[in-house]
Amino acid sequence: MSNVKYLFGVYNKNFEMPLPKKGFKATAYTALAIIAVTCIVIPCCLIVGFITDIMSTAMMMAGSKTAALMSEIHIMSVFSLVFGLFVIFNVLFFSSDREHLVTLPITPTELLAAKFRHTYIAESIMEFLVLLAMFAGYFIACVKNYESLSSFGIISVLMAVIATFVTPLLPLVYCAIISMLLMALLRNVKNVKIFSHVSDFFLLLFIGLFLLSFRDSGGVTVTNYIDSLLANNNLFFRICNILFFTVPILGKAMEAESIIYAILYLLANVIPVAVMLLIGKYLYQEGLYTAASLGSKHKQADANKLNIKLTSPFSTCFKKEIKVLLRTKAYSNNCVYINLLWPIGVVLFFVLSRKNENVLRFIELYNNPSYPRAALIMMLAVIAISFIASALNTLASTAFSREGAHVDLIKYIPVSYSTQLYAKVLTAVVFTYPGLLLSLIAAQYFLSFNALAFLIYALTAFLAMTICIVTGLSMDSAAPFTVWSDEYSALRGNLNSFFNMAVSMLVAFLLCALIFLLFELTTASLTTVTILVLIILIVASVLSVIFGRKIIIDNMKELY
Amino acid sequence: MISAKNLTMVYGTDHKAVDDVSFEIGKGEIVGFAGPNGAGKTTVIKMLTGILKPVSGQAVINGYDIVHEPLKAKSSFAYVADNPDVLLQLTGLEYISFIADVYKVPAEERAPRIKEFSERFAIADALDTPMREYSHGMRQKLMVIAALIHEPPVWILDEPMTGLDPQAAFELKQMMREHAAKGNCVLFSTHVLEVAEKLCDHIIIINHGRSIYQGTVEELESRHPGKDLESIFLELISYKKSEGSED
Repeated sequence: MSNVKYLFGVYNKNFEMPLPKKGFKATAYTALAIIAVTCIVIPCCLIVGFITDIMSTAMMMAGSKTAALMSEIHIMSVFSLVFGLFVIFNVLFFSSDREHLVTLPITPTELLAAKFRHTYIAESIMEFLVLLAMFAGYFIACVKNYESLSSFGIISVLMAVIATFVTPLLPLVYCAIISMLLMALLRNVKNVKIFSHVSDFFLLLFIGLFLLSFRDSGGVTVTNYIDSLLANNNLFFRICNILFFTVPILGKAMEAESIIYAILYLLANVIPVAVMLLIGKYLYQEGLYTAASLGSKHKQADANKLNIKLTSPFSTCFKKEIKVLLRTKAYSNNCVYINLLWPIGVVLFFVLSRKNENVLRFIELYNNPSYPRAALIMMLAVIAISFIASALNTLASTAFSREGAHVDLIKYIPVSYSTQLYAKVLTAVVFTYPGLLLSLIAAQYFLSFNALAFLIYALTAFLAMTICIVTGLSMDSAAPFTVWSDEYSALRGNLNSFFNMAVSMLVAFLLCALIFLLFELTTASLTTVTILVLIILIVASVLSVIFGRKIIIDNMKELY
Repeated sequence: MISAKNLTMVYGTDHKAVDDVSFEIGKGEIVGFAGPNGAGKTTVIKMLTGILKPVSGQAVINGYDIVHEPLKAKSSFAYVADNPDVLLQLTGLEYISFIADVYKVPAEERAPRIKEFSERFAIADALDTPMREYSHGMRQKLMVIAALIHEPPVWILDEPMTGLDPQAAFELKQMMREHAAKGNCVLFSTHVLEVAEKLCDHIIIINHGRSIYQGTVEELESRHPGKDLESIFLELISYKKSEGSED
């Protein structure tokens, strides 16, 4: 298996996004890394640990020590499975190194093992940290509820350490097995679109199962979820127990401090990997052949019949951006369709919480002018979601990285940098803003706010989005990630996206905190605070556009 | 050493890219593979190297069937792809070392070969630089060095001269001759007919996925007296020159 070691080493070296090594950019990226850790990694871990502590405490009081922890691991496993499918599929069959590596004297099993091992580690780093936080939350709950450190033994601690690194294994093994089986089916059909439909199917299936598990429980809340777990009638949990069969074994090992279950847990993780490699031995090479032979008969276009219309350079650049985004599966899923998440989320939230007392109370207070705090919370939610949604779709923070090896195009086409920049800005706006507006329309339906409030929210969302887009474009133009092996890598391996998200979260948090404190600590009315918010956002937007434009164009001039 | 028997390849469900192509390349031969863009040259090479599985037919390298004995077949050839953009975050030396590791080239043989090849291709001073910082030609040089590091008997090179400077192109042609002179064989695709004319023992011309000529350059020229190789080639692929174009 030394080839696996060589390949793994090469993948690790090839994975890192090159960052500026000296000067202002290097300092800026170091600062961004610190912001990312403090604004994303640490808060996420703290929140997860806190939720685990609360849920575990509730479940422990009801007599079930590990059910809350296990259910959280199940949710994480589902995420790994659904979002890992496309990643593994692309890594195994459509990375640009494929045609070089298959000509080497390496067995398909070795290639599969190396690619899987690298993807597993690269994709799971954040998951490892979140799992660590989950186990920390669980142990804190143990100490609190059983009032003793002896509430868990060495086996529990050992299993937690092992499970932190092993939990993401089974979902990704499933992804690899599904990818190879589907590729075997594609051998005759030769239509990759089937794969994307399968991925969508899994996503909808798990969302459906999760929502079904709240049926007749009065809405999607942590309390209702815990109640359904206690009643042992949670469909989602029961199906996940079968699908991710290693998790209940882990639960038993930790609950009973059983060394037998601990060994069983290790075996239960090793066997699927062995099965994957065995399937790979027989199917992976065939899948690689299929991937290399996809294509279609060349279509002839009659130049005389073409409906050619002359368009402006701006329009041409804009159309190019749109076509690249919509015709590339990785981009359309992660940059375009992801914007629908917000309006759908708003609708689901209000529909599923229609019996939730807290939500009903909030709606009541929102429409009562004597309680302006509810309207303030709504304003804060609009700001936070607008920043996060604009960063999450990575449209701006990968705008230059998406050009890949042909980023030079920006330099040599006879179109001004500003025109090309505006095309990229407009592209980000046309895919981001409609999602935000639809979310507001959905919220208006449930909260019944008036036209003026709608306009204020719409303007707030637009300004927040503008700041976020300019920030993302500035970062990506400073150090674009143009050397990637496939389009998914352009998104996954791109630290600019991560940093843009961190900065957006930080800005959103600071702004929301400032507004909240202004409202709570002064006598300022909601109207005054709203006007102040708009002034702050307008000034920040105008400044970011003025300075951002200059910074981005300067960066574009230095691109190579 | 290379045997292609009735190779046929269909992309998707209906695009027949290669149709019943057969040829044999023996020891000591240098064979040029020519044809217009989209003729099927790279597809044939991909079938020979195990990237594609032929719909029908058989590819045998150094006595080993590439589909049924892939590891033995792959250990027998060096392959330079038409695109040198691979694993670009690695330094040149790291890439060569990786390929040498995979082919299990002993350490004591590796160092002198790297030194010799990198000096012949004038890239020694850039070996410790990430390949993303290389020019296209430098990447191509590195691909050639990495491919040849295990000194296999069969060389399969897809457009190897693309991007090479004259010195490197000369060195590669020289190395091809030396390699063939030792009783090995070389198959390379090219658009440059003069290279094929000067270097090859045989040429194979392919068009629309079918082999339309196999033989020596001299035989081809003797069949079309008074015409140069370029004119013969254009005639073979039924190219109609536009009116007023230079003869």
